Amino acid sequence: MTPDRREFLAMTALAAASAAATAATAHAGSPPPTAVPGGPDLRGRMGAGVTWNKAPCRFCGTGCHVQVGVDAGKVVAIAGDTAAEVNKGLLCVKGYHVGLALYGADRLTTPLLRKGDRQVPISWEEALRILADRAMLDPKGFAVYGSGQWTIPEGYAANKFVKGGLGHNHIDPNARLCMASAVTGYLATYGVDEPAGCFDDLDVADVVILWGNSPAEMHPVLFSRIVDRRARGQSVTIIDIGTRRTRTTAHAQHFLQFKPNTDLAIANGIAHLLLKNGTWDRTFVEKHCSFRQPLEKELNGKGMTFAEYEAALAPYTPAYVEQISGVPAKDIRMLADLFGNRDLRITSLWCMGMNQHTRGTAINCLVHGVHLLSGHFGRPGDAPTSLTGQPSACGTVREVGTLSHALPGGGVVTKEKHRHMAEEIWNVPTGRILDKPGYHAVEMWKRFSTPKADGGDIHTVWVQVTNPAQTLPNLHALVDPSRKDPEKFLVVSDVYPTATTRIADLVLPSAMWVEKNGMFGNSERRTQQWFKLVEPPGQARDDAWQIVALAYELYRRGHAGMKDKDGRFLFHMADAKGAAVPIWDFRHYYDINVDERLFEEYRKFSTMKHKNLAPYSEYVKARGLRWPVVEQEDGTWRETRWRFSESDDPFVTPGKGIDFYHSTTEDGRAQIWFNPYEAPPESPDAAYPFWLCTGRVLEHWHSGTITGRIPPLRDAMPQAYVEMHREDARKLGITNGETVRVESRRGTLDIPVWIDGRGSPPQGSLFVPFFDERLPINNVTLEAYDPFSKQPDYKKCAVRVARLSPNAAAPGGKAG
Amino acid sequence: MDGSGALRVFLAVVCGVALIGFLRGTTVTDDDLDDTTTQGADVGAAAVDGVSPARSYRELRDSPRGEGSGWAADLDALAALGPDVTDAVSLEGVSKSADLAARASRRAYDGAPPRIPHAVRQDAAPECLTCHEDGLRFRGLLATPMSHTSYTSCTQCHVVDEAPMPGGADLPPDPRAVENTFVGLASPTAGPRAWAVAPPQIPHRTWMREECDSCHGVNGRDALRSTHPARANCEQCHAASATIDQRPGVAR
Repeated sequence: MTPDRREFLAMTALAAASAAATAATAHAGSPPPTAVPGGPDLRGRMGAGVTWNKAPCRFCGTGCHVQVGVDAGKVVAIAGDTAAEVNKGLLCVKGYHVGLALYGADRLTTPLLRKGDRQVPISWEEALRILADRAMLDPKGFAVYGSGQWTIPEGYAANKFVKGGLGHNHIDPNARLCMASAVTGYLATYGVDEPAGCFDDLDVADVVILWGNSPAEMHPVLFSRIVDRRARGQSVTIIDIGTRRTRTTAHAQHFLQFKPNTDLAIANGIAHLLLKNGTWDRTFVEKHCSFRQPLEKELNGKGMTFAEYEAALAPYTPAYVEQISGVPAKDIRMLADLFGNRDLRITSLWCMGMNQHTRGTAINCLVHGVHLLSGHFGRPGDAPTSLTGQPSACGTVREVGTLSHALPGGGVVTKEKHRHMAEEIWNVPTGRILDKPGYHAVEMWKRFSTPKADGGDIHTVWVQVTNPAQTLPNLHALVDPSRKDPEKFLVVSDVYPTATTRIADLVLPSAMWVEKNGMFGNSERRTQQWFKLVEPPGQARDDAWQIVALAYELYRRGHAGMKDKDGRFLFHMADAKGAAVPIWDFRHYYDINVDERLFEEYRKFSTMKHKNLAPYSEYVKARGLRWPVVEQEDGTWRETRWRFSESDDPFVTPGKGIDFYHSTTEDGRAQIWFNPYEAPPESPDAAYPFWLCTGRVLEHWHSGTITGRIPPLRDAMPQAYVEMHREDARKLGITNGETVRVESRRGTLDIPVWIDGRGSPPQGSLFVPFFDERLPINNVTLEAYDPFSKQPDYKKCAVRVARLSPNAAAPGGKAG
Repeated sequence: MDGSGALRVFLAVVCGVALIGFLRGTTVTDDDLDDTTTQGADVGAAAVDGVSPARSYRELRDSPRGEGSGWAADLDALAALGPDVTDAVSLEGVSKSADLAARASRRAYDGAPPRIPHAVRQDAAPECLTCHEDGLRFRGLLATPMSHTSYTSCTQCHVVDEAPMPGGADLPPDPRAVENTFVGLASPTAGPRAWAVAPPQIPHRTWMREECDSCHGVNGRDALRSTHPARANCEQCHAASATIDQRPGVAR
């Protein structure tokens, strides 16, 4: 480490500390206790060397804040942040052990280049040269596959690099696999993305309805926020609408088990009864809503009259819904009675169950519709709220717009006005941004896995902060072929070896979490900020720096896109004296706060869709703020908990009460949709008689790259398994723990059976978690996707199960 | 059999159940587990003298249905056999370093939620409070009382320390099962005292650890026990640290 660097680090640390100290609301640091005057110096016993700082947790979209204890340049402890509204001092087992995430012994510490069947260390300079060669080869074939784990500034830099620099739109994130259907659901209903409610609803709701969602394992802190109310003497009814029993079911008063894909029938059944019983909220609907029905390929569908809406719902009687869904008619009536009671506060939560769905957009719209039709909207506790799985799926993907059709702040590349705004803020010539959406995730990987001669026009994919070789569906089709095609080049930035780095041509070592400055945005519109607290190992470097450094290498080579209108570098940043800071040189990357610069530029986009963000300095003080954050007359910044409600949202026209000010019909109204139930693209049949559902478990986060290296988490959940009903096992002669073969039309997986384990699927149904790299269930899943959101359906496909012969191979995947 | 005799028999059964549980199914071999698909029907069925047979944690793991709750509620009776707050506490022969090491072995760092050293139900809300509400001390085995009983989703933070599922012996080694070089913050060994016999300060966070009895009460680890457990208002004499406790208003 050079003296400069050391001095600079000290300065950053000082800046971080003083910024935090000036914050009136920030208090969570624990400075070393001083010795008791006159007494023996016992500071060592109280962790005196430890300094504490805030950071949001690295894992899911809940957005808990942790206090990070650092001693001698290493993270040594984690504490729940009692100042954080989201988690109020509590964490889950992943959050408590997030500090261990940094210290797996096999961190990637140097760039690696594939030579033959080996990956050999190279310098960053060489790595950037190779990257630039690939980009110069044909910039339009150089795609970026990013992540909902990108920080906001990282995603913003990548988006600007691709759309404003390379001049195309082939950038899409793993969040496409995760919450794209929630986005299209919000857009089609309200004309603008992201929930109107927030987590405060969970503190006051009388009824919480979980639509294909198991927060006990996937969003544990939110689940505790609900169930711990009971320990305080409050009552809350939890209704679990699911396809299998989970830990969540154990806390629910009602478990409504439905057949996969039939949630649309259930939602329609509720709406049907609200109309039939006259318990819908006529005043609310007449004032604030219109009716909508599907029109092929049109996200906004077409209008329909109330009479048409009523007629469309007519078939969805409780008996009919029971016949389709398997949920008893009395339970459909119970749901309708709850929604029909305006005195109750009802919050709906959902995540992957409704989003990873070939009818994801449709079911999202229907659940919003049930809330709107019944008037359970806009009051604390009354909200349809989607949850996100990644820490910044909202902040980075949805708000920064790192999707192939999107621009920052809720813009889309197909709208001239939005393109011009971006071109102006980026100071690039008019026309720089392509008006055609790029390839969405599945399409991008399909093109990458197709030879150039056959239309596979993506020659290079640069992956950051995600592990597609484990998490994309139908890996045999979307990933494997590219690895046999010498014209295709895969670049992966990551922190540990993964299924994807192992097959990559170029691997770039990244800094993670508190090894860099960062910002995340959680599921309730809360933007969060943290400072770098420790050094990354070896030559691991910030993902945003990697983008900037490649952009500069291209700029140096004369790539026109990397220049702005004035001929300056696309990521030009000046110091206080106006001199350009060479942020492309990592030694100078932290000379200024690049995160703050990128965020302040990005912030200009945020007013367009009333997603107003506060200045960076406000986030330094807070445990996150929920947008829109609007400056008050006294100079303070106020966050918004309930959007579209006059009681809280500053953008509501006074006197309107509720105002959907981004209405697709431009009349302040939200859309109540009718979408029919339709059969899924693949259902069990004689040859493949089981449903297969995939998902997560408490201990592991997504593909397990990080959590697999945290011993307490790995020990508690060391391997994946297939959950199967006891009766099915008995019929097939399968014993608990036996390795069986799960086979679909696309591939097979040999995997141990766990009967009556973490979850309990009904007969004819299986569940496999996807965290185990050794047991890649996505060789089996289906890549069919929602027509609007392009999000694949990982929750249902048809498989069969067979016992292995005694001579069968060890567990693992095989091509189908 | 008179009333006290019946109680004695009952307690003996309860103790047996608890003991076998604590011993973590050491009497069960893998062979016993071969065909667990048939075990479901047996659960709770083979009553001897009207008492359900004791089941090991291993059995509970593989076949958790029908876990007995009748006896569980009566663990209160067993707890009553434990020490009382008025009993004299002797710390003679107690190794503080050994007890702290044992405590630390279950935690990644001081303040981390301890791991569960026995199997628990994986599919539902485990009945943790049965033993961990007031704590239980039995023949050298210890169930410490929990300090934050208002949090009810226990397994959200506390996980088991070995595979909860059977099978997988033939899996290839996990490429992610590498060493982790994290070094956690050590537990404090004692709170600072202003002078030799002054009451020591609380040397750790009290957030979610506000029930001092949890570690320092009669069912705490030996070396951590208070010599005066009958005095219930701990913070009258032992001050908590505002800084360690992240209390508002503390500048950083």
